[in-house]
Amino acid sequence: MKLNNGQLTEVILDSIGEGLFTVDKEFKIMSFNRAAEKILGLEKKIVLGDFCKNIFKSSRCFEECPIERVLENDQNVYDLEAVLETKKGQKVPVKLNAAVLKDADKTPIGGVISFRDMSHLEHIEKELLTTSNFQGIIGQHKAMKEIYNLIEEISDTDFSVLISGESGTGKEMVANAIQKLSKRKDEAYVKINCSVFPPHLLASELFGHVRGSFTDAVRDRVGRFEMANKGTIFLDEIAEMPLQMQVQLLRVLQEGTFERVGESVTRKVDVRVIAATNKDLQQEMREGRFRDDLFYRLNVIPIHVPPLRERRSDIPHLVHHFLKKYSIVSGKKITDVDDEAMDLLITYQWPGNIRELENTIEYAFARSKEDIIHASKLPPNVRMGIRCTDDLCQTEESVEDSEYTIIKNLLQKHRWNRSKVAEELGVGRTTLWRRMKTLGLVQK
Amino acid sequence: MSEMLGNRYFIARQFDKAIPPLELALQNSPDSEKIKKKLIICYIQVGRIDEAFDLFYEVVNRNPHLITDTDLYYDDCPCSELLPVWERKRVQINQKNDLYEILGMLYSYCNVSKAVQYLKKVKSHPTNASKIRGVLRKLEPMIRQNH
Repeated sequence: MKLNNGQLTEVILDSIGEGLFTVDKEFKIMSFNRAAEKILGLEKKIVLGDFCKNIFKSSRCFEECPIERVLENDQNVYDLEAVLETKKGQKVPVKLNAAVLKDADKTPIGGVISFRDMSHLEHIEKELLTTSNFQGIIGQHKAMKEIYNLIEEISDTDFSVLISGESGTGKEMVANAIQKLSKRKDEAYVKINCSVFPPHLLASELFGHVRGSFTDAVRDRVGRFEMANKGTIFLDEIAEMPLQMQVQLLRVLQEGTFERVGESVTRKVDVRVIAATNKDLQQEMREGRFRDDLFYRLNVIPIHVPPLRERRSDIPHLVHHFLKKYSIVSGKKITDVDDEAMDLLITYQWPGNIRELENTIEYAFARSKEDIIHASKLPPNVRMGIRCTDDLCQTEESVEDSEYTIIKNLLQKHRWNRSKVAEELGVGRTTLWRRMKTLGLVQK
Repeated sequence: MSEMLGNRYFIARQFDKAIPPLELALQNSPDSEKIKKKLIICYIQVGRIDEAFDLFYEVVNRNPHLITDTDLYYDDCPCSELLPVWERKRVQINQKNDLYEILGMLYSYCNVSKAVQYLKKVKSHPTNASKIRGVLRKLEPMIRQNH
């Protein structure tokens, strides 16, 4: 039997793995595919004809409808995070895309929303959190423990925090931990990377603008500071902020006031600021690129996240953490790396820090067919022990030196009990023994 | 700005924002009772009572059922949310003429008897007197029919 157009459309929609529904211009549901039924536990015959807000019960339905955003900006929405509710009242985290359907005259006549169930990612996050050492952060090195203590100590305060550290060391995770433990944890948490926006747009992004204040300002827009009112703002790569903007930021920090671009009305906000940079701000100040007064305002609580090469004892823990993560994500069971691979991972310089280590594990994970990662599956630069030439990296001798120091200190700490040292380092006893022999570490 | 955007603001109860796109949509479709019904509520909520009443009169005069047959759920009518607020104001405020007019209009979406009850109280309103009498002429027979 031949299908008519409507039936064919239905068959096509039902074949898609993503949940999908369409609404008419009144926002009543006109189609609802099988995946949407499955994700939300709702039957098509019940939802058709009803208002989408009555079905999805998402806070976005009232505050920031994705179709509304498309209608206002004439640009489709992609990968917007939202939470939908199932028939049984369970919350389902989703990522959704939205578009508007138009007739031949370009008049909007409806909208389409597709969404992916992201519950599995939440599951992964929870699983990994149970094995982390502090709010999702992995690391038992003394320097990291000091950071955890500091974060707990300042949890009752609203002081500005300045996080420094090389790229890939986990500054954002530290910022997240500060926010999660702070008294503002239930309020808005807004993140912005200052290097992403050109200077003229950064002001509008941070402070908002009024319609007509510049060519593309077609409507009033709330800035990130207003969005973060009563909560926290994370300003990543703060050193990239233009000097003019630094003056405005200083004013927000000192007085809590600002003006939207193109407006003379002074607005007031109450926002806790966490800033991060991978640059040496002292140097930036000396060269006139960063204001002293802003630095001192931000640097009330300074936190330095050490590079991975300065906390090599955390590498095995991080390796196992990433193995677990990719095992859950891919469904492939790889539980360990062999001793040779672990040796290479521990001695490598890691100029890209934890981010590079994670990428390395992901690479090896993809290449491995067995339940263990062999050294041969590591990326060539790690396998060959290529040292970077960057100033930040140490020489080959100093790597050995630092490894020598780490193992020697641990041996002394555990009274030369190799099992305990191996356990703390997260390596096998044989690996530890081999490294000790290579480094000339023998109990006298 | 489109009718759909106006509908969206209306659904989200952002009545002030809904007015410009709905007014524009009404210019393009002057006979759309759906748009007029929404605009009446939007005008009431932003305090443009005379404009609300002019539109209300126009719709009722044409066919009172267009308003009185409103389904609170399937037409997403906000009256059940708005009426308690206006009723509270009735108790608090002395200047009642506008309030009676507002309550009369809002109740006509869900309870004709009450709508008539309130509209009768503003009968003496100097500017809208004849229009109110006209509305009552349309609504009162409906109560009798219901009984």
